Amino acid sequence: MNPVPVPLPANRRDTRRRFEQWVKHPGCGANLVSAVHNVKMGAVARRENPSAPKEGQSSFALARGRRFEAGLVADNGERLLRAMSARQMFDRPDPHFLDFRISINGGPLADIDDAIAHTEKFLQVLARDRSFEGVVSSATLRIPKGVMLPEATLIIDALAVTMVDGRPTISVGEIKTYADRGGHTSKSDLAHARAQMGLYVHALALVLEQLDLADDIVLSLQGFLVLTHPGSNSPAVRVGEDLRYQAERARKGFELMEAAASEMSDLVGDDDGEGSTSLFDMVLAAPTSFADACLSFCERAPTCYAKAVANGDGAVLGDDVDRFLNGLSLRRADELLGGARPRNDVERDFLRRMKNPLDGVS
Amino acid sequence: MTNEIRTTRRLRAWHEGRPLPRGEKVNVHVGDDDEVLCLSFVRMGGESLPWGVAVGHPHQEPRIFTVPDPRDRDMVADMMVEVGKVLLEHFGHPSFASDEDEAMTMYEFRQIWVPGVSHLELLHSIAFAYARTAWERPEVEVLRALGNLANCLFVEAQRPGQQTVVVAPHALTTAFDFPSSPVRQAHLGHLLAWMGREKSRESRLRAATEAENLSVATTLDPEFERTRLESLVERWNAPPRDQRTAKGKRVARDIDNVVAEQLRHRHALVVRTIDVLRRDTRGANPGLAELVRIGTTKFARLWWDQVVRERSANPDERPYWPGLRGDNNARQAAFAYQQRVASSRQALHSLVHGDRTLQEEELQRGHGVRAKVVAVEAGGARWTLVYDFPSLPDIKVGGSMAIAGAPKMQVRVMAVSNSDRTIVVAPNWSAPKNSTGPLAKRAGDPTWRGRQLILIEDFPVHFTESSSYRILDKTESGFDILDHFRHSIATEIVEPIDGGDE
Repeated sequence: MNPVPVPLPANRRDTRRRFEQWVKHPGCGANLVSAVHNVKMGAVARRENPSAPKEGQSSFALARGRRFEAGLVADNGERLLRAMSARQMFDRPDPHFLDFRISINGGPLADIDDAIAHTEKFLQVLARDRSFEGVVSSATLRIPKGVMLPEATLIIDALAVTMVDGRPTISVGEIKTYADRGGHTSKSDLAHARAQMGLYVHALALVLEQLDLADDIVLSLQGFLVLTHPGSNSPAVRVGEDLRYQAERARKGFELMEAAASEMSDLVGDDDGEGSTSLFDMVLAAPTSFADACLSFCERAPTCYAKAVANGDGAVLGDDVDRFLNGLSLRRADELLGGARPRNDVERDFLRRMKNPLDGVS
Repeated sequence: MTNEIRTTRRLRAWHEGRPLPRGEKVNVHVGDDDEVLCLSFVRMGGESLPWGVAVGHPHQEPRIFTVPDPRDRDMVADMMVEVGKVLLEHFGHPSFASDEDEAMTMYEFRQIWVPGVSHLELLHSIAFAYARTAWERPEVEVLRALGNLANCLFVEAQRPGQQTVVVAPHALTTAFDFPSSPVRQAHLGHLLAWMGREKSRESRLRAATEAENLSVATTLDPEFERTRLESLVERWNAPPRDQRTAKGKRVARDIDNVVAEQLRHRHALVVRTIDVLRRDTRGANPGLAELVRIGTTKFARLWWDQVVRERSANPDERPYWPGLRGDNNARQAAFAYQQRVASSRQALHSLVHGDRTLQEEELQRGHGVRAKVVAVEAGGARWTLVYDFPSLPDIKVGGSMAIAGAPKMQVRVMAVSNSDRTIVVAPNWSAPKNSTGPLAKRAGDPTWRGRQLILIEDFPVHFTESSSYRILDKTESGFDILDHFRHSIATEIVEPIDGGDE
């Protein structure tokens, strides 16, 4: 088998993960603190409960992902370029390939700062010299507006460059190892990948603006996905992913996150998502809000669920029950269903809505 | 309104501390043991083909198939050939009958039960891998036949009301309202734990929460995978590839033991689900027989007829296998949509008359009325009714309604007055429709007067079905939104650029 690259500590500075974590449940205070201060929720969960699982992802899946990505960019991106060319993404038969991966990921560049410098330089050259058509692997951006201090860094899996009407046009691509099953590809997986790409589009727009290149380089609002063919490691490229609304979502999301984080300190965890005790304490002290979404992404979900059950939080039966209860606790709802007399309008309204509308109609 | 019904029922189930029966009848068909095949998969994290498969009829020891490392495509293909033979025989594929004298001459109803949606999705991945494969290897025709069957099962599973492919947690949540969040209700172990023998809500909740720790999806718990399998797989891969089988017998057996244990757990949960539903004293909705009959015809058209064509090798009658990627263009999408609407209405039509709870749900949606007959006129050609529920029904003049419990006793709506809650209808029968029972009366019988009835909207299924075929016949739909998306998507299956990992 191909050698598997080592894990990617540098990726842990990747702001994207933290932003997406926050977006999944913006209403949870602990989630906000964790994302802003870069304290991994898994580490917090283990501090809270030492028996919490160490890793939420399959080691085989992680290895496969790394192997798949490494295979795509090996030999000057031969497999990636071939798959993209097969979808008529380039005009020229021999598209170029640039590798901005850092050394720890098997690439030629020293570190993240080097990758950011190369990416910015590349964009500046592209604006003048329009001969490049091809792919840049791991283009790295630093978002000028830093919500998540000390930096907001994004690494784009693949950046395609084409010439449209004589102007360089860049479009973002995301590499995923899950299978492309046409119209039956997992909707949630696709939504997640599209959200990521929307974030990249938003970040690229900010960077082009900052570099004063927005008039020279066209930023495409259509991205592409590189998935796998079911049952093989061959890439399957899906083009024409509409990212307009995802980019807008990212823009608004950053604004909201910035507003939510404005009162916080500028402490931040290290590259491993670990941090000082005070950071853990801040996450642990922040209020939590259990919801259905927690189960899909947060390592503290079992603990929060147990707390929600103990507190009689309606969300343990689903977000819809929480809304239906309209502020009533599950415990009180239980009492009312057991025959307790309602004390106020909210409780009377609850009993009215619980009643079968067909009962008592004559 | 429907969502709110489920919300209130979930709260009641919580209050009672146990799952509550949903409906007067069980609205899922459970076939006989020989009609049912339980199918469970386990796959390695990141892979899209199985690591192991458990397949067997309920109450029989399942046959377990595993490979030491599912990243080896040849080993997986060898395994799937054997799995394929079992599945194809179950569905009566004439080429795979164990006894040629007993081979089906026409398709007979068969079911597969899977422990969750991810198992259904894995069937689709199997279809992608094998249905159109050009791989040159022994018994590739078994793989192709398996791929086509897997795809047809996946396609059929999307059709509302179908009874051929049953996702066990869906079957349970169709029959019961559980006191837990819908997100958790996808876990079969969680649902069954709620139905256990524990005495209190707290103990049942504890059991259900514990059950969630054991994965029943196709993937294993990452921690389990890491601690129980990672080192074994490493050991299997340590020798050069051509020596692994010879040198790795023991480690292959160890891997098989671990994966098989997981497969047996999934299989056992599916069998328990079948037992729970069979033991249910409510009994099955009589309308399910109609859904089974329709499903048999539909699946025969989708799969069996293509098998027959393929075997005939007649160039004028080539098989038409459904596409793997879904709808290829807007016209097909529109056709499929209308077909599904029709199937959905058919499912409701078949079941609603046999279950008063479903009738109440229809009333709460406004798709019917509860009304009292106040006048029988013109020899039964015209009835006047006054309805008391719902306050604002969704019925229209010219529409058709059926008396709940008697689907063939239909009335046409002639006039509706919401101000005095009156409707005038014309019954479509004159002589008694039913030979026995309280409804065995001619339309002009004066004893209808004063009788309270539930009238359910009788949506013409055939109308939607025929409009779907009209759409299919058109080169342009006539609808801007559909014609706008006319460009087709890629349909070819690109062969792997290289052989995979190895």
